[in-house]
Amino acid sequence: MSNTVPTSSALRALALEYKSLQEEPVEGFRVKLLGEDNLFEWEVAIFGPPDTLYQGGYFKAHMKFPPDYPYSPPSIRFLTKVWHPNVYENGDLCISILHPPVDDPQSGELPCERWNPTQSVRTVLLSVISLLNEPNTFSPANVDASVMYRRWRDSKGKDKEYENIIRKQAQVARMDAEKEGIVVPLTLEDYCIKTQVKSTTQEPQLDMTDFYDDDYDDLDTDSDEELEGGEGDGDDSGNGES
Amino acid sequence: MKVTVKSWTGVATWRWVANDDNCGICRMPFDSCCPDCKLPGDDCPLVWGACSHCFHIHCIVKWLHSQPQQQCPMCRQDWKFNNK
Repeated sequence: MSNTVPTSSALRALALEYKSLQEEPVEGFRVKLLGEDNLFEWEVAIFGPPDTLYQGGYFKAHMKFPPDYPYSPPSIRFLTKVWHPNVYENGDLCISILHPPVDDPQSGELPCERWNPTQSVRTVLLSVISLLNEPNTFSPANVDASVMYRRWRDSKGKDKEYENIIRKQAQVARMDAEKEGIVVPLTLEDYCIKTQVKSTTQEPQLDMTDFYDDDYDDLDTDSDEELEGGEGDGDDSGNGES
Repeated sequence: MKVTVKSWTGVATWRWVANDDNCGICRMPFDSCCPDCKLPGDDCPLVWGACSHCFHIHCIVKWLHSQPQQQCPMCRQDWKFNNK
């Protein structure tokens, strides 16, 4: 079902998502377009969560979207070296949320853990962040990393081989980030600061209900002057743009 | 003072009454149409599932057709159209 010509629905969905991530960044990652005129390839950067092995790390990845997004999932490939049970040698990330929900009993993934069109860049990247510290060792993409991770976990951190590799990679990645002038948040406070800003701007959600009420009131009182159909138009053109 | 109305024009607005602002599949506002349509209105209606989730009919049908199992993409319950 994947056609090669990008559908207008994919373009619009991506434009909307990109815009909202620019306006309201989510804690833990940043996104930008790889090329200004191509919405189907993004460069994403994930900050290593503080108080984890990945603390201080800055992990860059390419995110590629199919022409029929959001009906089919995007794919993610890390550009930064990542030693992780679910990341292939070439950087390709293997995570169930990016797999279409076809019946494949071999995979060990439940259909409900898979891609669906209500997932978004935001939900995917948040899943990736939590996968960093909670690898899925059931079907590893990097068997050596998986074995090493389990040794580290089962020895309750006494076997430090896994830990050392991760910390070193995070450190190298951080130095690369600094060369680019990027400050990686190291404390939970810095890491979460964007969310705090966001929670204040979340009030519009409340306003929205008011907005509806007002709207109905208006309809009742002076429906004459209500050429508010223009409002719908405004929405339309706004989304069609870019 | 007497006023004579010579002519008048009625104006009406409408909107879908959905429990959400945007379609979770195409992310477009419910008050505009799905990306495959040109005009909002009866030609691009909203539908509700028995689970009470709401989508543009074109969006949910396209998704259900591509799936082995007919489930609501929001809550993964079996999708049944709610005929209300």
